[in-house]
Amino acid sequence: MLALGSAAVSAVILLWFLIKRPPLQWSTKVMLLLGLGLFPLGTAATGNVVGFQHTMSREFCGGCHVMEPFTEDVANSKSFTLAARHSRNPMFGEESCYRCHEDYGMFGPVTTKLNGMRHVYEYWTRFHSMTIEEALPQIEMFKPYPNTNCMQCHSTQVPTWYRVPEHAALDREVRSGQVSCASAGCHGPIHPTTDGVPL
Amino acid sequence: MTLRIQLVRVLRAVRLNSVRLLRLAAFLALAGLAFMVWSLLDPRPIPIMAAMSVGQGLGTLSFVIFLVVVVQDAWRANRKRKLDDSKEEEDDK
Repeated sequence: MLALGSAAVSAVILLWFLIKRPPLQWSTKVMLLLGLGLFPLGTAATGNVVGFQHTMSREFCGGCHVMEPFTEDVANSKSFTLAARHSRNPMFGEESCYRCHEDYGMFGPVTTKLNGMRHVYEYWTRFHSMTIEEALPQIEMFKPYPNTNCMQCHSTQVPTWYRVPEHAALDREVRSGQVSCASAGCHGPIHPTTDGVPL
Repeated sequence: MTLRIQLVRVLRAVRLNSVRLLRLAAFLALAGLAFMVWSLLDPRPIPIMAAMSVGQGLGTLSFVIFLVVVVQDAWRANRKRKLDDSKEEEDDK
């Protein structure tokens, strides 16, 4: 609302300048400082915040048609995939794609957005003209899914975690990332498609 | 030849005086604002990316043009004042 308000005020000032053609005196320059500087800055700043928040939403990720099988699955209350079960948790909710795929750490949001730019590039150069069936076998992660993302919520420090024989046996491998939590046979596949074949 | 003189020559060549430059800046800012408003009303990947790249680029360019015009006008006014002062001094002598 603030962004739209700033944009509207700025547009009124600029249109006044273009249509009325006032003499270029001090007061006109002050008006232009508002119309070209302060109000557009307000629109850009608040627009950035709104935009960044929206890029975290599941709806945004589903904006690329090849992501629809994934976003539809997580929205399906009857699905029992790991992604869907996590998405039913209010901590993930409508931002479940971002919450699981974000990079953690100090610059996590920035690197996540940069990786997102790469996704957009790949979409427009490769997947945009494909059908979902054509695209699914080719969609892959840029890098293995890091176990540290799972460990943001699942501490893996509690005794019950070690009571699972596979956890105890693969403790070192899991912590070093040699074995993924999302491996098939462990907790994967996370999404309903593997190698392009819907499960 | 300094960069400023080169810039002034270019602006003279394309007949871009202060008023025309500010009108250009206003058009650019309106275009930039349109991209930003588009992303707010239709928050899909392309509008959001367009707003954050093209929209903000146009907005920044328009503001830079405004600053150039303001600084140039101030510099001209200062120079004119100095010339007038020196003329008055010569007349007094």
